[in-house]
Formats: sequence, C-alpha cells, structure tokens
Amino acid sequence: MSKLTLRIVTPEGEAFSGEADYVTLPGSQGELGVYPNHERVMTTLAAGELDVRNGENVLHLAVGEGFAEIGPDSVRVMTEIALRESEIDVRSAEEAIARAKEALARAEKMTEDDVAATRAMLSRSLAQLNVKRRKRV
Amino acid sequence: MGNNTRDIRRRIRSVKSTAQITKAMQMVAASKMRKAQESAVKARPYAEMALSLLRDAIDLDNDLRAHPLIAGRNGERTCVLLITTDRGLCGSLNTNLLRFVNSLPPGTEFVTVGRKGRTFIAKTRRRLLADFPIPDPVRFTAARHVGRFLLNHFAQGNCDRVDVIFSKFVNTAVQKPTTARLLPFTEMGALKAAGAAAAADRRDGIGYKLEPSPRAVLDLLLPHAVNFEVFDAVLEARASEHSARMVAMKNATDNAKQLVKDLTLEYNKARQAGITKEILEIAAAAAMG
Repeated sequence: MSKLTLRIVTPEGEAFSGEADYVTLPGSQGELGVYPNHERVMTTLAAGELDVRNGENVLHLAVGEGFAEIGPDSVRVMTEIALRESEIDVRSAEEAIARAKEALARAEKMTEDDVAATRAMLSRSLAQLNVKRRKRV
Repeated sequence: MGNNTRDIRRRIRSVKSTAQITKAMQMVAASKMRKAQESAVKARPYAEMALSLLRDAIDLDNDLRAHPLIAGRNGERTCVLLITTDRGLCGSLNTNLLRFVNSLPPGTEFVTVGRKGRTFIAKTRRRLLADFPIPDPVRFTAARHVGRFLLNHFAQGNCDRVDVIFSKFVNTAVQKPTTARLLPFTEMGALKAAGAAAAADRRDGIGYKLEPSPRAVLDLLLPHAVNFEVFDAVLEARASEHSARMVAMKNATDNAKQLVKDLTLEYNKARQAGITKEILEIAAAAAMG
C-alpha cells in the first residue's frame, strides 16, 4: 500500500519528516483524516492534535494554527509551533491555561484582537495538555 | 629602579588578563553567531512554504491583491521597528543603524528590540511606542509578540506603513544596515530569498483547492508571514551582532597581545639599565678603593 510523506515545518526548524499511513489533522472546520490518494487541498488548521499513524506506531503532536497542503502522496504542514509528546512541558502549559482563563475573565477590558489571541493561546495550550495526557488515561 | 620595573610588571599582568577575557568573549560570540545562522537556515523550509502558499492564494483569486494588508493606503505616517543589540562591544554596528534613524522625519514612530535602540530613541525624544526585549537564543514566540503589535497598529490605521531597520548579516566581516518594508506586505527578505527555491520546487502545485477559501487562507497567512519576517530580521540582527562582537574582540585581543610585547620589551630595557647601573657602581667603587 502506498504511503504518505509527511513534513511538518515550523519557523524554528523541521518538526517532523517521515512516512505515514494515515494522518489526522486539526482542520479549522473540523478534524481531517488523510489517507494516501487524497484530493489536492490546501487548508487552514486550528490549534489542536495532529496524529501520525505509521504501521503500528501512532505519534501524537500538538500543533498551533497553520496550514496543510495535502496531495495524493504527501502532506505538508506549516505551523508556528509543533511539539511532540516528550517536548511538552505540562507545568508551563497549565500555567499558560490559567493565565489565559484569567485574562478571558476580564475580557471586557481587552480589545477584540487580544481576546482572539488569548483564545488562540488557550487552545494551543489545551492541545498540548491533551496530547501529553492521552497516554496515561 | 625597582619601582619602575614593578609598575611595568603590574601593567603586563593586567593587560594579559584583559586579553584572556576578550579572547573568551570572542569564542562565545563565535559560537553564538553560528547558532543564529543555523536558526536562519532551519527556518528556510517554512519560508518557502509560506511564500508558495501566498502566491497560490493570489493566483487563484486576483481580487486578493486588494487585500488591505497588501495594497496598503496612501500616506506618509511611518512606524519603524528598530532592531539593535542589548549590549555594546560590537564595533560600529549600532552607530551605523542609528545614523539611519537620524535621517528619518521627526513624526516617525518607533518600536524597538534591543536596549541600545531604546535608549537612543528615548534620549533623542522620538516617539517610542513599545519596546520588546528578546533574549538569546531567539524564540519564535518572542518575535510573534512584536509582529502582532505591529500588525494591530497598522490594521487600526495608526500608521500607513511599517519598516524594519536592522543589520543584515552578509558575512563575518560585513554587516549591512538595512531598511525593509514590513507592511503593507511585500515579499521582503526571507520570503524573497526563499522564492527562487520555492518556484523550482513546486510549479506543479497549481491545482490545489484552497479551503475554506483563498481569502480565508490569506487572512490567516499574512499575519504568520509578518511574524516570520520579524523573526528572520531578528535572527539576521543577532548573527550580525555576534559576528561584529567577535571581530571587535579579536582586535582587542590582538591589541592586548601587542601591548604585552611592547611592555615586555620596555621591562627588559629597564631591567638591563638597572643591571648596567649596578655594575658601573660596583666598578666605580672598586676603582676608588
């Protein structure tokens, strides 16, 4: 069976490069599962979990907002942040969530942009925690 | 005679220890410079993808050229992102940048990264909007804060364009003070450099569907691209800073070594003079006796 070539690029370097049978992407309009021979699509991603299945192995990553370029035999993901499970710092993610929630509680004082940015940060941190906790549950 | 030689000895010791320090700073700067350069190389694939995406979006929907972040508006109100170093001992790097700043019209607003630029803007009573400290090594998150601030400022109509002034890293010996347009968005700096590679890489790419719509992709992409340009400018500035410091410290070390040589010669002369004098005295005393 044919495989997908997956590349995840961030400004700080390539976060992942390798083969996959199946990739789940956090599309901005809902989760997106990609098998080989997918239609060519370019789409926006929301902050969330990206799962890579290759044979028996499943790799979970937490990604920020970004873009995915899907072709018949390749997926390219471009995002500002992509962390593997081992790279996620639970404490700092929890702190970020607490800060964001506190800020959102005082949301009426902030501009719309700030609220949006804080929400984005919240969802990024939540995605990181979800990836980290999945294995233990 | 004892006094004189002791003074010279003391000076030699002090210059030697200065040379040791400057030598150490030179090595540190060299390794930091390499790291900043590596970061810039690592960022390349991201730039390539951002650029090809940007072009695809605009190719698919020509109306997008009128996007407010691309088309811009008429007006002369300029906001400048000034990227300097936090610390000195890096030759004329900051001076060259600040000369640029001096030639700007008085109404210009400033956002600074780096302590040197901030103090300069404050001292010369220019309009300082915000200062963002960015520690070494540069994390993308830090650049994102700056990018977001500038984008908001521009989008709210507070200024008509945003420029960035920074030292471009040419090579270890040459750092070029550079002004580039950040907003309205043009393909500047890093994205442009990535352009050629991207074009060769995927002209087969046309035929992609952009979801939810080219406009939505562009709306999300442009802020990312601006953040990235800020990130790249800071990386360039850091590579420049460390290479300038490395060269300055190498010169300082060489000077110190030369000084030690000169002082050693002087010391030996003084010592020899002392010995000669002593012999003369002994000979004179013997002759008299």
